[in-house]
Amino acid sequence: MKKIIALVMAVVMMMAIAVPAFAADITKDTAQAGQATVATTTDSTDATYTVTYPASTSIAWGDTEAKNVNYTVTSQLPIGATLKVSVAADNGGVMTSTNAPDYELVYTLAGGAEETFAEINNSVAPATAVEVSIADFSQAVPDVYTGTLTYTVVYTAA
Amino acid sequence: MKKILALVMAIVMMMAIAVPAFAGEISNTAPDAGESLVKTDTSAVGAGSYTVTYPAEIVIPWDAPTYDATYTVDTQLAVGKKINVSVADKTTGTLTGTMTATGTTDTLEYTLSGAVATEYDEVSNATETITFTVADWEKTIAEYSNYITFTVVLGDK
Repeated sequence: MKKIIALVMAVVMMMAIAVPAFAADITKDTAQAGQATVATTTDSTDATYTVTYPASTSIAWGDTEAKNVNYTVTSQLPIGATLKVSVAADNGGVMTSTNAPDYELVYTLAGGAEETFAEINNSVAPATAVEVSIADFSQAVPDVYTGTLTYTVVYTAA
Repeated sequence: MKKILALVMAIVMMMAIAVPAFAGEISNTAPDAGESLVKTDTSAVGAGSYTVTYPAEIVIPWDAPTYDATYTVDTQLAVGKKINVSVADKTTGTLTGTMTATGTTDTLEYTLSGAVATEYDEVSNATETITFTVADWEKTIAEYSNYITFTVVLGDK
């Protein structure tokens, strides 16, 4: 019985150390030319992307000109994968006063609808500019009002 | 000396590589949503602005027991600020005044009432009325005149 177990273990060990034959041979007994395939592998390569956006945007009091808050996309994705980027004004664009939370001021977000980006991009801006503006300061108490834009990225594999 | 120099150089190098956070980033290794702050800048505004518009000349019809005149107040002040607007006879500083006839020493007394002392908050758009009352018109018919003063004081609420 011990001999049988020893034999089985020996066979298993030999199978474990058997190396697959990834090499082709050219010998005097084979054709004198051979082909080797050259290929990339994506096994260990994830999609990479970076969406960059302004961390903060200041609007001077009384300035009704639109302010650019564009983002840019840099990406290297697998074939068929996409990035979808959108921008939204939190709280409907309502900003609140720093010193008097009851006071509000509304800004408008233009652009920001979801845009789709293909595999390769190098600091590419959205087709439609993303801008914020405050149309009317006249009925607001001058103060530092703050609001938040949220930039959202959705990666979709092929 | 070398240690001090090395320390200074180290500090300078650290400052050189410190990058201000002017941009947010979303990447494949970071959350797929990021926030950006939108804020107003009032550094050029100061305490805000206000305008009180009043008639440069008020003409009271002869024999009118009372006469209303109006002024407007527009304010856009910083948080916590206010203005006080007051109206008074220029000579007495009170709500009672005396008009003098041109070329004579005859006088006509009047009193002021209505919006003669009013406080306005940060944002106001108001039209106010002051009332002139002349109790006694039994005077020589002539053109009587005097000045009233509008005073605005900016302060904290």
